[in-house]
Amino acid sequence: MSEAARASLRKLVGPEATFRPGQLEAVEALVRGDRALVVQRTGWGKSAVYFIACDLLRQQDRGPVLVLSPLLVLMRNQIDAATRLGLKALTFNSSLSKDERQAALDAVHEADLLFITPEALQSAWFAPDVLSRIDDPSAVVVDEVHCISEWGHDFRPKYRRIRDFLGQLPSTVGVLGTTATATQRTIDDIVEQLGDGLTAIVGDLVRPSLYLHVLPPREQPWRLAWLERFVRAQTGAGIVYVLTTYDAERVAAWLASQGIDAVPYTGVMEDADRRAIEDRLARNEVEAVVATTALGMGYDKPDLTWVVHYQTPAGPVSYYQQVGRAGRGVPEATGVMLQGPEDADVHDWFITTAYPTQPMASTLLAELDRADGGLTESQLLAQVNIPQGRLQSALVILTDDGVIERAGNRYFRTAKRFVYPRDRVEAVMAARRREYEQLVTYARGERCLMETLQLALDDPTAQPCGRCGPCTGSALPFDPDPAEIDRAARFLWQQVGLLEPRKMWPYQVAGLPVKGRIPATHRALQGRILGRYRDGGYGDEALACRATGQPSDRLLEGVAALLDDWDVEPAWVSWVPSNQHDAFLQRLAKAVAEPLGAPVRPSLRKRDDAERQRSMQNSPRAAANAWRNLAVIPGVEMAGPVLLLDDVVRTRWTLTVASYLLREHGSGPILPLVLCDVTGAG
Amino acid sequence: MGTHVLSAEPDRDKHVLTITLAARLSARSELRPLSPARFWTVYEQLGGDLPAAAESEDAELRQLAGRTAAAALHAAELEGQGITLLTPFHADYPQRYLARLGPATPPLLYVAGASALLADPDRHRLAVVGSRDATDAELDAARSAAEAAADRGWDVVSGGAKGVDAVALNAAVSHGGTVIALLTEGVRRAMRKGALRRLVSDGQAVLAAPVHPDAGFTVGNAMARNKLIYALADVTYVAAVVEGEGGTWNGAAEALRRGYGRVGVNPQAQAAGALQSLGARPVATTAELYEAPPEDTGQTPSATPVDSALQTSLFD
Ligand SMILES: [Zn+2]
Repeated sequence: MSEAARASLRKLVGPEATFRPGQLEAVEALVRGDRALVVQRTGWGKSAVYFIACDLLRQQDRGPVLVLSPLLVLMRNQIDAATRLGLKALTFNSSLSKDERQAALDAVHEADLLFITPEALQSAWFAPDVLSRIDDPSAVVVDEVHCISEWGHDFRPKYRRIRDFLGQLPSTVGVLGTTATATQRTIDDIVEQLGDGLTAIVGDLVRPSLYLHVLPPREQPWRLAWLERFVRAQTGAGIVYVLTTYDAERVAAWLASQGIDAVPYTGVMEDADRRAIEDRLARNEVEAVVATTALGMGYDKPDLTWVVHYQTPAGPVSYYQQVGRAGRGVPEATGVMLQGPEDADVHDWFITTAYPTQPMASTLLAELDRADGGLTESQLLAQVNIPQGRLQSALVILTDDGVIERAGNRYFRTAKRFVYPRDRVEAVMAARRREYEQLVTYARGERCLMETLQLALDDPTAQPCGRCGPCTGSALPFDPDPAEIDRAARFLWQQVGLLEPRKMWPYQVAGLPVKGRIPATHRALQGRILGRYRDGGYGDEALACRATGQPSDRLLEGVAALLDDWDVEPAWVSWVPSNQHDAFLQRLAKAVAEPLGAPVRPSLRKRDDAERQRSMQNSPRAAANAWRNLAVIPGVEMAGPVLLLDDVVRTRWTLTVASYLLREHGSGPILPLVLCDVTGAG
Repeated sequence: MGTHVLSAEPDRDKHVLTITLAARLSARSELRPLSPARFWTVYEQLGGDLPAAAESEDAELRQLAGRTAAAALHAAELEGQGITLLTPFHADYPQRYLARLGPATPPLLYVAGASALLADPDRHRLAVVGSRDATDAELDAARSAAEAAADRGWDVVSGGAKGVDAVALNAAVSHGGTVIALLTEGVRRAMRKGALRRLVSDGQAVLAAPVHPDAGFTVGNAMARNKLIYALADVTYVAAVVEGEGGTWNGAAEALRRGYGRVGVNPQAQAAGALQSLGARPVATTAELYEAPPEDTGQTPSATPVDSALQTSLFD
């Protein structure tokens, strides 16, 4: 077979082509129907292995090769590469339009390689529509196979089913797992899951083109100003990694406000928009892409010359993968890690909410167990006190775990036993915390950075690189001056948000006498949000003032500037009452109303024994609670538009109910102004 | 060559290929999976080498055998939800079916709950059956029989339907027994209604069916299912039966004709006399069900000449 494999390599790549150590071995394993694992850095030629194996299998009249890959961006690159080699490659994933999918279905009987996402593999249409049109796959490739392991830095519950799927295939079907980065523990776990007799081919991780640097923790204005200087000094395009969608949007907006061509790239964006940004980045048509980990595994731009982390990433493996996007096809590239005081909290949130808590899982399963005939998500929301986002993620995870199933829009408990995997959840959380700590140590820069990363990834060839900051004793020359820092700070203090009124009451909630659409006459107008939790600006200032009970001059200046910009003329000012912070809100209302020349009038009251709104974990509960607790004060003059103040907004239900009640009692239009958006804050 | 009885041993590739050939993979699938009789014919023709079906001359068989990836997805989804796919090449499959049912042995069973219970050689099983329109007295008889079985540590085999099935199931469970319910609809569909699933999660019931887990009730499914109840039991108790009518009569007559263990009949039942003339024992008190030790545990099948002739032609 070796000769046939070499012939195939020469045919596909060129007359001079030779195999790297390990490649032929992996090809042969796959063609024989064995199982193999390849752990090699990006650029080693993992895809060449399955391209050549595919060519050989097709020569033997065997079926096509199935490639499971978590990310579309990777697939697109691979399909281009396969096509260049003369292999017919197709993809099936959720981003295809109806016409694209039909075209793929029409051509699928000729395909040599099928690239599919785990989600597509498990969809109801994949087997009847796709598999029924092709010969039985002769081999299955699992790209980014570390996702199969909970010890991997990027475990995905959807990969659990892939493991079950591999276990149900006949022994004649070859299986190849590939990953660029995995610790020894992850490799061991993958080997155990892929089965006995597995050939593992593990390479070293050193990246001779990468010049790594770290900077000590700094506040956001300093980092924004530093970033601006850094990006200006670069000749090529690069990636700024941030932790959240909000960070991506704000950092990109900052760079753009300084005249730099920067765009955000996040998981909430449409796939077509993401694809457009990837293409622009590939052609160097942007200066910086500010991305969450959504721009992740597999993105390949060989001439990428820099990657900056605005915040500490999750751990050494994530960091190595992300910074490793740079310098693949160029001799020199820079990787810089900045850190902020907010990083630890954000990671703690990610780590602790990755798996449903035991009470959450038990409550959900108990509700579903009791229900004859299943429950919809809306029914569950009304019955359990779990925030909607966490409920949705718990439903996905428990479905992937197999303890619940979904048929139509209803969820059912299954026959599978559920024992809360406390030990596993705790062990995984502890592992994640250790990984974060490893990066904190890395960021101290006390020893060679590349070596530290390699050691954290269990690479036995690790040694000082001679290029990084600690090795050379050099620092990057981009420290900002006070004027630049001040400019960035002012930017942070001007991030006014819009507040869209809710349009629908929640579905079926006890204690809520209203349902369906909220009439436009009873909704608030579009409102404004001054700041945001942990924004390093007015959001933080507002919460600090609230704690003292006294609105600061700085806060009032912010509100005044916002009102100037908003261009509204309220006839009177009121506030949403609060049991804990009413005095603060009343002072705020007075201070805000005075320059407007508008009267301040208390218009709503709250029951003294009201349960705190923030203990209401999800939307239907919050709506019912707000309805129970609020009432209009009789006899208040309410003509004309009212500026309705509130300290924080989370679910928007308090404002929705308050607006409804005021309108019902004859108030003029409602203009809501909230100091701090605490959505997502713990 | 003498006659031989079907037998099978655990074998992963055969198990996987059996699912591939015998499973209805989706509601939309136009391809009909192999019926039990056809499956065993193919099995014999291939000399047990099921993977060779992929190179068969028969285009439809080739097409069925080329579904291993789809079958693997089907199995992975169900196994992930606690539904076991049993084929004769799985250790938990009740080999008694091969001995008793011959070519009518279902190549694929979907099981929710402890599937090992079906094949456990150390356990005894009493089937309690009866027509749907049983009288109160007949339901009482079914209840006593199931309670007594549970008290003795026997598993109760039932059909999971209303009437005698439900009475027997509840009686066994309330006496701390375990029920094996062979359903006429898919196991997942049945569990979505809640009650049966709760028994499964409490370890008090095992549900099994040869049809797709989401399939609904059909008369055809019910007819094919009845023999699975009799053929799994050491002893069958017929609590209510009407002569010449319905699944209970036909099933009991078949069980007697083919010798699927002993059959006892409630003397109060309408067709008790007719069943007795076919070989059923009248059982006035539940203790009588257990008087003779169960002579048939599937190890030494008492095949009738009809069986032997059939098996000779098919499997020699
Ligand atoms: Zn170094």
